[in-house]
Amino acid sequence: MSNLLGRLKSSWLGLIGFFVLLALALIALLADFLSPYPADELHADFSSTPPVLTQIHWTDPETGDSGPFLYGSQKIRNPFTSKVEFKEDTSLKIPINFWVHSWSYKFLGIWSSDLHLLGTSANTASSAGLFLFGTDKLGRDLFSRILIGTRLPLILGILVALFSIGFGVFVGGISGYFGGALDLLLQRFTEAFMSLPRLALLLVLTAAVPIGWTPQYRFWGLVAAIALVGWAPVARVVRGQVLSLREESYVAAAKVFGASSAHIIWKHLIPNTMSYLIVAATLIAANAVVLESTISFLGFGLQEPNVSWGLLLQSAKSIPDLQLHPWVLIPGCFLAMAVVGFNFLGDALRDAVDPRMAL
Amino acid sequence: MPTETAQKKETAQVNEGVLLEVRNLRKFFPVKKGIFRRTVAHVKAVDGVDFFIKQGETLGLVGESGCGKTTAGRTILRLIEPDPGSRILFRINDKTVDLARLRPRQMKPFRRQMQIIFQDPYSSLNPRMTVADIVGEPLVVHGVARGKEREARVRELLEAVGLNPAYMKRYPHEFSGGQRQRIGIARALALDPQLIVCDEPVSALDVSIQAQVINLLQDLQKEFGLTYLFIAHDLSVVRHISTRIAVMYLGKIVEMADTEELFRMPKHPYTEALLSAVPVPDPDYKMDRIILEGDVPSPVNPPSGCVFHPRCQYYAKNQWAECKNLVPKLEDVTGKGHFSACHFAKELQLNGVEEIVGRRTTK
Repeated sequence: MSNLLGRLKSSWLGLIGFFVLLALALIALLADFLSPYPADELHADFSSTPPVLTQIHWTDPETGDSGPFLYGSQKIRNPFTSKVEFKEDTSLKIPINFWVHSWSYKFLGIWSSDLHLLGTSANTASSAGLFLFGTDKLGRDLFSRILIGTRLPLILGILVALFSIGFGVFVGGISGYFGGALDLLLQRFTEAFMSLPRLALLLVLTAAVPIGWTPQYRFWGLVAAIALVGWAPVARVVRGQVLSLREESYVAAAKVFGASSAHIIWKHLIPNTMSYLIVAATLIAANAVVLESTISFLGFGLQEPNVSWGLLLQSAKSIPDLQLHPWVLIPGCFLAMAVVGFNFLGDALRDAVDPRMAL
Repeated sequence: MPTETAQKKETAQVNEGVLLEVRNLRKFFPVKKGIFRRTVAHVKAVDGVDFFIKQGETLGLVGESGCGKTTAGRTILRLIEPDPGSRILFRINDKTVDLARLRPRQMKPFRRQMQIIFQDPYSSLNPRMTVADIVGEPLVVHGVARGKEREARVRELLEAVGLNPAYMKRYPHEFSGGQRQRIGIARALALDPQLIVCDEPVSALDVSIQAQVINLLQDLQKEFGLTYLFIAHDLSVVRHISTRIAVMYLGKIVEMADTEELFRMPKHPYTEALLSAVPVPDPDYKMDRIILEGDVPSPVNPPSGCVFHPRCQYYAKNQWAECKNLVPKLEDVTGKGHFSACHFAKELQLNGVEEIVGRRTTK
């Protein structure tokens, strides 16, 4: 294991992947603290506001004070296009504060807190908002929603990886170790799963979810569905590895002193497939994140009030929307980052466990 | 009914002082072909092997590659299931048990009594386990020792095989081949067995290490009163360690005798040919080798009669009909425990090692 990490360090792409994922995990953990607004708070006056990230000013031209601030915004309807436009109102200065106490949340669901990294004072809320990535049609802050939306895809990715690996190892281990008719049966079962088109199967499964299910149930249903289409390749590879590992003399030695099949599979065979499993887990997680977004985007996966990148991208469904509010694509960047992170890490791990490189 | 059970018991007894007796041991592997995996033939890997091992002795089992000696060893341990009709009589606490008739579950108590040492020290140790875990694993499986007690036992075992117990927490890849073989031996000793099947334990080792491991095995035999079935193809190694030797050819035992007797007075032409092939470390020595014609016949379709007859120089000379038509029995030819499966064991004058080495050419 330590050997593996050592070799991983020599791959800079792998390191990038690792740090991207670390950053996303931290974002997921600290999302409440990092968000200026609750993810579901509506700002009726500020629907479809463009990102203010580019409008942050650092020094006041009048007083020369430094420190980030925004100008108040005025809503103007363009007389020619009748499009709503926002204009800076330089008479009103709204400072951006750090370490502000505003809305309260529970960190990790346990500790109550109202501390936030960024924020503006409450009495200026009617004239401008700190909408770093803009707002959606209902006036919800996209930045806060993206941060909160990091949680479900990441948790889902990890859970799917665990379940796929768990089930794949179970089926593959038994299939490879016992062989014979059982192996034949399990392999045909596995192949049946592999031969189904993944996305179509997923859509059918998720569309079959009863309407009355709570968002939490839907989430677990989605995890189960994605794991169901993901375990088969793991089972096949594990079977192959177990098939060759069971011929090793140390397995024969264990049989001679009377170890049970479960003991042999668990202690001798599975640990020796671990390097493959680590790699597979990373790649499965990446895939799961993409699949979740795809399905949620298509409207079969997670539903409001849950927040996930795929759900946020739903507002980017129509071309006119995209033309008017291109910032709704920002969640896609985060999605891409996560997937690239997982893949870089997975590829680097794969190279690191390559037996030809093992000394 | 009572007479029948009495008869069964009677035939299942072994002689006094014998630890293991194998009768009619058979293992045929099916050869399958086609989509329906129909059995088209059998590889007769072990075809009716009989031998016995006395308590505390070492029986060397020799033969060419592919003659079935490893299969025989593994079948005795039920690593490979013997074919019906085989009997593996094991004597324990003055009672004889037929291991071939036990269900796998019933085998477990007897598993403590018999262990194996493998040829390849690299694949016989799980690379993911520490030495302490490897050597202590049999103790865990049989629930004999836990925690500190187990650690103490592992320490003791490592010392017994000449390894520093300080290396307990290391992994197999940190050891040399000889050291790894010692770890494998320590594992085999963990449950205090009676019989150890040594499956070519030194064939994969460097010659200098071979001697160390062989001597270690002999020391351990004295210390713990072990009985060995020593499978090998190197006659000089076998001669050094064995009390008696059984020679195997094409799934059958062709000769079995005390070591020195077998080397001096072989009673089977195959043994004679093997002995003539032992290398002598003398550059001036001109070997008078008996070159066996052709290859070892296929065990799928072994020759009729005596399986050795197509390569036997005496059959080639005399064309005896018996050799071709009659399967020879393994019989005691001297009356003193020298068994041979040759129709003409008594008639033939075969050369032992001394005659061969004695024919040294003068410079």
